[in-house]
Amino acid sequence: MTSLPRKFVSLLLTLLAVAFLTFMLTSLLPGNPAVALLGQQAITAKAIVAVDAELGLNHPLPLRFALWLGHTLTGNLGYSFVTNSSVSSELASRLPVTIEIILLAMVISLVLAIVGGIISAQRAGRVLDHLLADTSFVLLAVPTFVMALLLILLFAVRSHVFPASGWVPLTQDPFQNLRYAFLPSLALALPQVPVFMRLLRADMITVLNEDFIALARSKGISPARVLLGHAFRLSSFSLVTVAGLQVGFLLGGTVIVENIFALPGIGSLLVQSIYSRDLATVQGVTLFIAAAFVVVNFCVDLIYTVIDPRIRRVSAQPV
Amino acid sequence: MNSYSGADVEFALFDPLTVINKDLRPGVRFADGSTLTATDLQQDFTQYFAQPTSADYGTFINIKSIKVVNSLTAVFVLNAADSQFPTVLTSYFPFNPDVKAKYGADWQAHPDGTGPFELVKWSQGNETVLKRNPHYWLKGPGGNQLPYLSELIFKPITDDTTRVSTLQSGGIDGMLSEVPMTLQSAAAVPDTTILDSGGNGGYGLFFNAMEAPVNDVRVRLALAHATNVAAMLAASGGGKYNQLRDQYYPPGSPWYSPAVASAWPAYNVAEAKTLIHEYVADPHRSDGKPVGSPVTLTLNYEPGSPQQLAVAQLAQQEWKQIGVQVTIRPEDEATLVGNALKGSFQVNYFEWGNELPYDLFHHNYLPRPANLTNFTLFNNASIIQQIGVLQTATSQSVIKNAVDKIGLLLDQNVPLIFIGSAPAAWAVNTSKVGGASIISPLLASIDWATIWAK
Repeated sequence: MTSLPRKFVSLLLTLLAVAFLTFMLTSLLPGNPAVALLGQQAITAKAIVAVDAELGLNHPLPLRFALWLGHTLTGNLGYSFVTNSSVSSELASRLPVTIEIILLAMVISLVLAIVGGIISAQRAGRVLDHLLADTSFVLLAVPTFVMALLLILLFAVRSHVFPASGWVPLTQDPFQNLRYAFLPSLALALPQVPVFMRLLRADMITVLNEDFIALARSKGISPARVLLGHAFRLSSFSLVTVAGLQVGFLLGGTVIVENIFALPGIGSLLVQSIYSRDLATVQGVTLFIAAAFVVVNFCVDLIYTVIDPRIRRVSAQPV
Repeated sequence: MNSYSGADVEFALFDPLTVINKDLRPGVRFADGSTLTATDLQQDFTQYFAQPTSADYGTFINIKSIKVVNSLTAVFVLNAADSQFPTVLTSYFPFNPDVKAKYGADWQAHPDGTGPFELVKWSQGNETVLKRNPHYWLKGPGGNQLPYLSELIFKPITDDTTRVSTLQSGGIDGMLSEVPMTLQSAAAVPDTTILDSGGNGGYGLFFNAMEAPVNDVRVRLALAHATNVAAMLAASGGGKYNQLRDQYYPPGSPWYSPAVASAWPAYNVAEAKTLIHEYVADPHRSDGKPVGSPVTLTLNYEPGSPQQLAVAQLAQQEWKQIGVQVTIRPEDEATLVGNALKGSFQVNYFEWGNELPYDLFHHNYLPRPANLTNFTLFNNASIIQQIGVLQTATSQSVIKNAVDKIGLLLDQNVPLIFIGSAPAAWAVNTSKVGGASIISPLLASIDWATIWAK
């Protein structure tokens, strides 16, 4: 079996394990969904039994898993107990918000990290490098929710530059959409910046000390071209890998950020579903996030083999 | 016969209170222009009481049938007398049953009612946009057509801090909160007025009267005496929006009783110690532990609420003073309620929200298993007898007398420790919104028809 099909089989097995764990863990959540659905004033023994039967919660757990998996494989993630709409359609309507926040966060963090990383590497050991290092540690230490509240205080409450919460879809008004997306994306991006920046700085310092850089400089190539065209290009391999892996972190981060900024994404959907014990939605969203994480890692593996010929050659050899 | 009136309906009660005549106001129309009829009402309420999976099944379980007499009169026949049933009905609004035929499986996304606004857009998790119902039946002072606003937008902002920040930054013109600390922050925003619904909501520490050691009244009384409710209230955002409670009803309510207030076990650490020592030294103590062993308890509260955490931590400290070891445990609402239903708890932080005496007491004190919402599992024959009185009483003095008797029995038996009010209040930016007022404590909502934009 060649490398790609083997990786694909491994991906499928991982997804199956993720589906099993997702279903079992969410089914074992304490608290009866029927009780959460009925509300405290409407709880009667008859109502609980009826709701359990209607939601299929009276079946044994293995049977419920088999039914759920069968439906999931056909793309049917079930229906929300609370809104009565299909989980797939809820995911589809909320996914663009989350994807936009993640993409924007990735762009912001990479831009800031690349600028900071290059400056740090070029001025290694100097005042600016130390200043950027200290800033990195601060950004790394501040939790996302604190960062989010701080940004709201500074840019919404004090200066009224950006809205404190809410969402305008891109299709409705692109400018307003960016205004509403910026603070949540920044809150998500800032903790990523130090990770990317320190990695890039270390790689660039190593590359800048290579002989071919000295040769390029001696040939009279401009410092900017040496830095960006030679050193940065070679140093960006590990940055690409880590950036891909951090997508999983960003997905997790949206759960916090979307709730603080009241964004209609899948992170806020997940939290609300957990509180209301909307099991079908919790299972659907959790499976989606886990699957997205696995698939992104798979893609990063593939990209890595593309950009690094050594890995491609090793992988292609028969086992 | 007694008469009650709701927004667009009138009621007549007939003894023995099991037959209730509901007369509709003529000319009331749904937003789609069709007229509200008794048949619509019959269809609406039938799906509440006939479907056990309905969220209102518990509320309307007492309905036996609904008969349509003519286009404007429906008769509700109950399984048992309920003098407060018409008042409960006034908090429910008619929905147009035609939407089911019109929208099929998606009908729930297209509600159509007789209220001042109609739904235009429901973007789940983002916003709900309403526009003026051109067929709204109510006129304002001077005969002006209500509502005054042409559009109303509701935004779900789940985080309390963000909600206040959005109000502060001008992103919204008003916000609802049930958290005293949040209301204090909102009140500090310039041009903001707090409109308290004045409802009966409150919170306290609920004992499980079937679980040792709190199944012994001496322990419950000791814990009540050891609780400095005023300090607890202060620690949990007390003050303006969080009144101290010593019974189910607050001062100012027609059901409040000074006699019940004075009989409530006051803060008295010495008395608490005496009672707990008596229990600890009892060879037949209910927890089965050896004489002299300390009393241990677990107190559950919902995480994420600073108010609940403050109450739990203070209870832990105060009860420790009398030798009771308390573990505080965070449990999310579904777990907390689930365990309470199973009777698997000792002390829970809980809230109550019922307004009417019969509704309140029959939900909380009729015995299980018929009544699962008895969250203290406390059974008392005298209280059950008084609930029977409330069930059929229509005279204010008879109701007051029964409520007082129940209050005094609760003072003696302490199935819960009352702490404070749970407000349901709106913070409104008065520089942008005019005419805001609360429609009724039962609904805890602003009267949207009569507000205007400045």
